[in-house]
Amino acid sequence: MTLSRGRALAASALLASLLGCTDASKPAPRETAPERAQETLGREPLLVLPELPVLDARVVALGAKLFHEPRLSSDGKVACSSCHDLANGGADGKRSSVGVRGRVGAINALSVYNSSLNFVLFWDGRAATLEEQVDGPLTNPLEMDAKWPDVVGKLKSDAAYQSAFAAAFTDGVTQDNVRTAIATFERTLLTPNSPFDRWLGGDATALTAAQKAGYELFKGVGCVACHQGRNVGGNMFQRFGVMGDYFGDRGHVTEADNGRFNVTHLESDRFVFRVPSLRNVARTAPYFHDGSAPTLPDAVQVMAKYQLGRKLSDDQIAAIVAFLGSLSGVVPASVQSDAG
Amino acid sequence: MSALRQFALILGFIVLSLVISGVLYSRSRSADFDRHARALEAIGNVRHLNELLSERVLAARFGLLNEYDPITQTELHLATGVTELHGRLANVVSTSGALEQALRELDASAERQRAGVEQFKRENSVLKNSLYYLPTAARELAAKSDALGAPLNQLVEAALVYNLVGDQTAQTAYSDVLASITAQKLDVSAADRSEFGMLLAHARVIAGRQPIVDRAVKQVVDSDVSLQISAAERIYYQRFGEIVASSNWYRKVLSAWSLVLLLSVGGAGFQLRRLYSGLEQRVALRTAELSKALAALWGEMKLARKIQEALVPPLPQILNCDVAASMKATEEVGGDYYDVIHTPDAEWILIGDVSGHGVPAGLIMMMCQTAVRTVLQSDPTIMPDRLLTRVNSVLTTNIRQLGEDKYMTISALRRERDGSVFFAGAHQDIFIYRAETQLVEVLETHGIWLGLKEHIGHSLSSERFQLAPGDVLLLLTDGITEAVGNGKMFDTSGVRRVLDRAHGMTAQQILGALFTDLADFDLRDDATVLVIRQLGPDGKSTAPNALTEALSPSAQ
Repeated sequence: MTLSRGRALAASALLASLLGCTDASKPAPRETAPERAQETLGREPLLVLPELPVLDARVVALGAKLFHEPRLSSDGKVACSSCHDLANGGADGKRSSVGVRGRVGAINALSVYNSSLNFVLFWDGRAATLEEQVDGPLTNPLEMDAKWPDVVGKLKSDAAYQSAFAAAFTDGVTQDNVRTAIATFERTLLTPNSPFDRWLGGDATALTAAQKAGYELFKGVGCVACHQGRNVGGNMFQRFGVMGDYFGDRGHVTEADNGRFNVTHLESDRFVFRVPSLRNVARTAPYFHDGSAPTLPDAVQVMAKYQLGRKLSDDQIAAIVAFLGSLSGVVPASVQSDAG
Repeated sequence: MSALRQFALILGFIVLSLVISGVLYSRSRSADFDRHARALEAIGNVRHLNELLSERVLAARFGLLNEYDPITQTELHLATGVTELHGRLANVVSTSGALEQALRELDASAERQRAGVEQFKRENSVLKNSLYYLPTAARELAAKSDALGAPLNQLVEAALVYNLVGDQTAQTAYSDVLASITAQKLDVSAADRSEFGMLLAHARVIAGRQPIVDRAVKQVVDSDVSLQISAAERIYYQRFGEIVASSNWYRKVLSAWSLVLLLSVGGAGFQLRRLYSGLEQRVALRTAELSKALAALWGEMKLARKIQEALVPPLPQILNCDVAASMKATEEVGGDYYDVIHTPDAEWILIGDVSGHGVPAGLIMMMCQTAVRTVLQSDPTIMPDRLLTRVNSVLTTNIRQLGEDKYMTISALRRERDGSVFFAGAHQDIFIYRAETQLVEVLETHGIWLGLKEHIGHSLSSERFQLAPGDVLLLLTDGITEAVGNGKMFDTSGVRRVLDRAHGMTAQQILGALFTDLADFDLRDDATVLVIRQLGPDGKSTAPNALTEALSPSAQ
């Protein structure tokens, strides 16, 4: 088959059905292509955050407790929440996170908020699910440095945990149940009702004029090519340095800079990262996997140069930053005490 | 063949039949059509998601989809669907061998397709960015320099045509325009050089990325996922067809087997009915035989009872005495015997027990009574020991002639008119209630059983005691003392307890008291009691003190 056949297929499909898409639907009931086209044509490339899923409250409560539990780490001082501070945008505000015994990690902590909407987890996308993701920081020697038998042992020796696990699961304290509980809690960490979501929902006053202008620029200069969908990112990989040699200019390439390459070992994946979500981005400085951009304007400027191949004026940057500020949503009631 | 064996064979046949039926049934159900439906649903789902993914990638490529969430979610659903397909197929057929290989190839195809999708998203974003930017940059530069207007418009036009048409001609045309602009020394001011350089960079991105994007689209759209699904489906169908064929064969066998079973059950039923009717006949026969035997037995028992009733006096009377007697025969009719015979100068009281039961015992009883009466008629003055010696002689001879292994215990008492009583013969103890002292005396009887040997005269002697007015003589057979209640025998102590209360009681009252005490005891043998209360000369019970005089050392 040749490329032209692919095009012919594409053209016939397009002409026949005015292709468009909704959410990847479950197999049944299947929508027809025209139905999908009607739903998606003319839609904004950014979508409203989905509803909170219905989850088992006992598992969620247990997950929340484990998320804040420093005893999971080898020195008993580092919890998930140490680096994913729910009061601080779900991240820690540091270039690189600090793990057990003051060990400095190799990469900037991503926000845990809305992480369930990412198509893969971590900067290099090495975990397919939140459950799978739990193992990463827990066993990383630079982060929590724990071993599963120790974790399970500690939890089993605690009567309160034993009782909470017994209430949430039929088989009590197990590795899988620890993963499930933490992941289930993380699925509740959605931040709906941001000004931008309200504007998308029809509230024309939810955005300021500057934010609206910023949104138009966001789309117009090409940010939206990667940062799109309901999580404003998080649904694709992209090379850092499409229109310029970011790492050459920055210097001192680290292993973490290799990104997706560390997982696939394909040269084409070197410096490729999962595109981060921009929801709550105003609360999660510093930016990028290396934490090299201390402020949002800095980050926008770097992105314009190395990803878009453009020069943006200060006004344009300010407008885009204003728009990005409208992506800050409301943290769930269950963690508002953390978020203060 | 015995009925039991036939029955066991039939039972074994039924069990074996059930086992065979169970095996055939489970084999005939090996084609699970519910699971088959779920497997087909999984195949259809993967096929649908594969098509949907292609559709969405194409939509994104040509600007009809402006975000990647639908693509990403379809990718994830497809990956899940392929994993689920493995399980659903394995639930129905064996996935080893060719099917395993086909599924592995499907996994690999899906993986390649997913890599294509990821490359598409990544490169398409870059391409779109440059395609958006190129016209803007060209317009801005053209506004600043007239000389740039024509070549940049040509570049933009060629880029848009290339993007829309995408064939080799359009690609060549675009490359030529770009090469021409790069080669020309266009008049670009120093201030615009950076912007011009940026425009050329984006133009090169378009030239470089569009083929990559198109290849990625092709990789997704032309993915052999669909072919691999079909290959797996073909093998699956073939295997499921084999299962269905096997299942159908077992169904046919099961149908035939059911028919055989039905006929066999009918045959077994018939055979059982035959067995049953044979048994019925035999039971009826045996029942009739038993009834006959029972009737004969009952006839014999009735005869024995009649003999017994005929021999014992219904209302025995003794001069100057208050007498009460009772004989309770068991169902089998034991050999109890008593008699009261009047001679001119005395009254004879006899009490005894023939060993065994029924008619033979009754005959011996009859012989005994006849012998006693004959001897007394011929010699009314005879003493008890002599009487029994002569009776024994007759009895022993007759018992031998009868061929029965029998013997008889008996005590004979001769009561004189003055109240003295002579007695001989081994039987049960004799109980005497003394009215004066209100004490109970128990006299042992001595001698030998009758019927064992012909000459017993030397073994017998007559003893004597005296009855005073008010005294009570109580004679009995072992049916009374050996009655059992609550694990204990009534015994001689039970008789004593009755006589201890005999003061002022008539013979009948004493008899009544005795049977009242025996109410809780089980009489296992004939039970005979004779109560004789000595009255005074005037017919009253009060009398001078009575003395017991022993004619032998054993008398009390």
